[in-house]
Amino acid sequence: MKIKLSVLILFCSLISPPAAYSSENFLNISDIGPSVTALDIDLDLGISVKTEETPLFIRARIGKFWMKGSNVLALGADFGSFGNYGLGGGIEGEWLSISTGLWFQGKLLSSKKENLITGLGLGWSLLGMEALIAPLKGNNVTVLAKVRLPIGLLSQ
Amino acid sequence: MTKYIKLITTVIFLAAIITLQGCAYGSITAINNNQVVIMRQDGFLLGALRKAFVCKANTSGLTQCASLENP
Repeated sequence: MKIKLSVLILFCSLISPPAAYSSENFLNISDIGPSVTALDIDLDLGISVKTEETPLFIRARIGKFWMKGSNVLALGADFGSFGNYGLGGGIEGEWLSISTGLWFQGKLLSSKKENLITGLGLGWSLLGMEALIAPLKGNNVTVLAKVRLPIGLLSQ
Repeated sequence: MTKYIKLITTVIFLAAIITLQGCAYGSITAINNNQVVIMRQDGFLLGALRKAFVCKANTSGLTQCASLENP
């Protein structure tokens, strides 16, 4: 196995020269890899799990992401259609692990029908769930299943 | 409300199980006295962001990591 991997690495190094060597000293293994700051564009399509609500959520997040090794942090403006809450926008932050595929999101939003909406999302790979809570309207909760398209990360 | 809390708890529980499945960074293999190959697995985009790094290992950690795209 060790020999096979060594041969594979040697073969890869012949067809694709290694990127510049990093002289950084890594103590945490998940930090190994490039440090990248780039434009983040993330598209979301969500469907409310309550049938009586407006089912579709179509949103975009535009901001920046910072990638260090296997960890990605993103922060940006989130806007679009928020189901029953109508059109709206706000800020969203996210932590994502490339190696496990898990991600967690937190957001603060405002829409035409609701002054304040807080949201928490989590998922794996391109699929996830999100809970939106309107604290000023008796903690009204909307839960949605969603699919995401991370255009910013795909361009890396 | 209770139904949603149960649902979210279940998802967090499943996420924790996935996270605990071994080393998140995949495999680490020594290729000679002071060099190691470290694979960054990609569970997010199904392998599109997978990379291998060849690093020098010493007593203070790992240095001089070079990457190879999608080996």
